[in-house]
Amino acid sequence: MKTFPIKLPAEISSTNIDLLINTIFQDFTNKKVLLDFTYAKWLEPICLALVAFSVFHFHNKDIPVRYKRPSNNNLQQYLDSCRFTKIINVKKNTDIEELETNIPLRHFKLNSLLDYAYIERIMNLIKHEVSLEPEIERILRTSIAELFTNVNDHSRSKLGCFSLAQWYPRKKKVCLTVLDNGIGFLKSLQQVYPDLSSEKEAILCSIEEKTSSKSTDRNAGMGLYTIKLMIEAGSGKLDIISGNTQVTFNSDGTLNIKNWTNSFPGSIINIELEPTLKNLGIFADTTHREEEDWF
Amino acid sequence: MARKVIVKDLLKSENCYDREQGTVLYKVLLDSLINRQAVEVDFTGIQTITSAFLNSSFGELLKCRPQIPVVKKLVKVTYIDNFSKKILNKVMTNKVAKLVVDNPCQDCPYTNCIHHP
Repeated sequence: MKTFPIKLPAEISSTNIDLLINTIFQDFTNKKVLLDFTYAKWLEPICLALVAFSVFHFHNKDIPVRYKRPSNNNLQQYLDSCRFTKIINVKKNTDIEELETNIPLRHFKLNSLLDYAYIERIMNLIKHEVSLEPEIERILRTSIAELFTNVNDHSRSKLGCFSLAQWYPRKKKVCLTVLDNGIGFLKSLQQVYPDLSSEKEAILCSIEEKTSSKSTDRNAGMGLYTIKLMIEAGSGKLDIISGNTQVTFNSDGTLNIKNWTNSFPGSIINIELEPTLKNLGIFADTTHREEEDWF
Repeated sequence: MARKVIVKDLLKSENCYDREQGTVLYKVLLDSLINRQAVEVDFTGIQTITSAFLNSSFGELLKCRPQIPVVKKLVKVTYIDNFSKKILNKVMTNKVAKLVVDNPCQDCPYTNCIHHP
């Protein structure tokens, strides 16, 4: 059986995650996989969540997988401290000190996703860098909780959900990744919008605030819509990956759309929040559009 | 006199995150509505309310169209933040939109329907 090395490049963030997806999700029938971290130096949460998921994905397909540690010792320490090596089962010890700058990688099974303490830890990490007014903090906490309830209620993910958050004090940003291997945005939303024909259309549809007759349980909570508004009100970006498509929502309102060959079997939400949250008043007003008042 | 439900005490939590919590509130609300008793749902001290919770509590009350005025008349929600109120209104409006298509009253299959107790 031949070994296929997946060599991680020096840096991976949401900007070049497509390279990794295209490499990982190809046909490895009758091959072994070597996850080679030798040259890696800077890996953002989206990369670690993806690689950790890929290990479970390979095991699920009976594809043998091995891990080759990075030559950079700082990165190895980081991989240990954020529990990456423990989750992928190459390090057994649990006595490694967690860092103040991250919320370690977690693998949730469906129906155990709503861990209140975990969401509170994410909020506390965000508050290191981003100053939040009480009302905005409440809205952001609700929106993050909605990301997890969406995975729980709509993704039908067989391998559960992977999540990791990281604060970068020098870069002044906080990253949060939530990854599942469910049915993706297109299949999920086609149940209500049968005319949708691509992941790109489905992602763009999911981010809109719908009028009543076109709403679904999936967007009633407005988690993604609200996070997009929050990013547009300040800075940072929101990436949504589903299947073979990545849509990036930038803080200036522009979009970047990428397609690639090999589909990711599920969806990934990646949020980057930066501290310059200006125009929060405008954001708050936007969320208070008039609806029929029921009670 | 309206029955008062303090959500924080009922759930023993400051966060209304999941469907299981919603079902706890739903059962209390349904009990009041079947007895035609007005009920005030007080969200004092609650930090987070997700759409999953609201769907499985308030949303579940609407299983056929004639229930709409009953729910509107008997249920009162107090001390809920503006954002959560917006989500609640959206959840209820979504539910009504689905009832029109999926669940006309004449086919109401629910034995515990508050319109046909």
